[in-house]
Amino acid sequence: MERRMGAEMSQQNPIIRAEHVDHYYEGQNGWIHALSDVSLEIPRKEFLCVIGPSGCGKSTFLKIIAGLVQPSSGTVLLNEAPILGPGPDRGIVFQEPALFAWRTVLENVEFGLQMQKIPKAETRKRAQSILEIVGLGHVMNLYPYQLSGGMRHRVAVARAWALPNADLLLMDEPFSAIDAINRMTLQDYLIDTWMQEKRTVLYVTHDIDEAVYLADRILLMRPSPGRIGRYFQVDMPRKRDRNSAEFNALKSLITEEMHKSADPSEDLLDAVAEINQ
Amino acid sequence: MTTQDAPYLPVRSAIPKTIAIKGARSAEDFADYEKTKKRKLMIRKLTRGTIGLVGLLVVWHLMSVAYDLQLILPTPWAVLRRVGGMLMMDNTRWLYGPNVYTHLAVSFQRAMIGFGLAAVIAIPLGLLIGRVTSMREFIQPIITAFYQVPGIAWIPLAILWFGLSDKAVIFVVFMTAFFPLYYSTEAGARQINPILIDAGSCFGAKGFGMFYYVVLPATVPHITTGMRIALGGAWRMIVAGEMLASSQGIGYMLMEARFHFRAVDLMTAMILISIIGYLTELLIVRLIEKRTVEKWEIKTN
Repeated sequence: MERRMGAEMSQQNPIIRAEHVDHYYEGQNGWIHALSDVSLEIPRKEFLCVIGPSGCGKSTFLKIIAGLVQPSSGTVLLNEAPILGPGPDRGIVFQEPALFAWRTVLENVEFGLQMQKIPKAETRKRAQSILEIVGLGHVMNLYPYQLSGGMRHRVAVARAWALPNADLLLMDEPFSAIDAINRMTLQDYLIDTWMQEKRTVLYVTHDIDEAVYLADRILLMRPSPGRIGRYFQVDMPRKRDRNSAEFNALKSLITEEMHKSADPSEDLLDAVAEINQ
Repeated sequence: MTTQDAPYLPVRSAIPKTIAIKGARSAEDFADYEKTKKRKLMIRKLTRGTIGLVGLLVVWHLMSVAYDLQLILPTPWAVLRRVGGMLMMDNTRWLYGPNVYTHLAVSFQRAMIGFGLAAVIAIPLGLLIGRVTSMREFIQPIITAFYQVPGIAWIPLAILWFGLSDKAVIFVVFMTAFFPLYYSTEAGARQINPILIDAGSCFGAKGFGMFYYVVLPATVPHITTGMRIALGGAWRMIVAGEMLASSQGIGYMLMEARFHFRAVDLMTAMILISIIGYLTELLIVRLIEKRTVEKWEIKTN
């Protein structure tokens, strides 16, 4: 009860506030500076897509918010409280579905609720309704191996979505392993679900088309070391038309920016500018 | 080089003859054809297996008869008759106490108690040590040290501790079954795909819940492998243990048969051990596998 009231009172505050986050990890060729001075805020109910070339630290940032990785320095606040570890107040969808092979589709979706000791009947009802929304009502009692790849990804999304107290959903390139046609279908399922039950979504991807289709706001990150690049506001109404001029204009703008940011000579120019100052 | 210079490739020979089906080709035709092929392969496998087995029996019989070795190498037929006789409780020249079922039951019970105790301790311990680094660092060296001691080396100490009794035999069975179970479980738990653990903890599993709902089921394929090895070991050790430390059981029967110079009874007991061992494996491990690994289609990596 107290927590609910707290949440309502802090409705105005951003759900995520990251301040000066730096992260290093040991790679195959020595230590890697994955994130450099990342500060950002995510307002409630925003659909934020983070894009960038590989090595820009976008997945690392998502893992830090998930609580799976501790940042080397800096603070990340979730609802104004520091993140101490993973927990069911954030839903997560990994790059691979990561379903539990020993549970049926329904039991997979129920997992998070079961762990929170939510009454059985309520758990079942919620899991079933989410599965209906993502179009998997007819395969609820199958095991993951009996599903197609796309279906498994939908189950993974449903599992995250079923968490009742997760105001924040983290998605780490969830559909990147899916072929183009199925990916579009999955994106539609995701947007449908989001429209029905709005939550904050942090969606990491390297697919510009996907980001423009899904996001309220896009954050382009720059690589080596990973840092904040540029934000793009996407104001097109949903469902968006991939063939509209506006859509494609934004896509090419981001593509251009991404190429620029992936180009090391840009860094050199930055460094020269810094020295000249 | 033009195409005319290209060497002649015998393309036709690459087409297998077996796909020739006369007349219309529907899905049923192919299904029928596949079914027939499968049955034929099965029959061939059975025939070959039988030929091998019969061949061995013939050689055995010939050696026994040709060199007049019936006393130490009774003919297969004599052994088979004795197996039947024992199971029918035919007491001609019966030198081993009550009847064969008592011995089998005693051995079976001891094996199951030893194996059961090993499973109850080794599986949770393996899961824990596989997942919790501090536990591993404390306990792994102890287990490694004990593992080097062969199960059979525990028999004299077991006799000192427990006397010539059930307990001594159960103890050595336990010491034998423990390690394969422990090591497979530990390796399985340690090698779980990290993303499943991440998924578990992100969705709120922790402590006992994490072990019961994530780690245990993810380790089941390794556990059944360990069980299979441990059961085999348990049966070997039950016989060794009973030979030295008991006055009942199938191992005791073997030893007695040797004292009485009854090769036919020795071989009979060996056949019974083989059958019981096979049946227990079938009952315990296969049953678990059917309800878990096969239902979920997960395999060890």
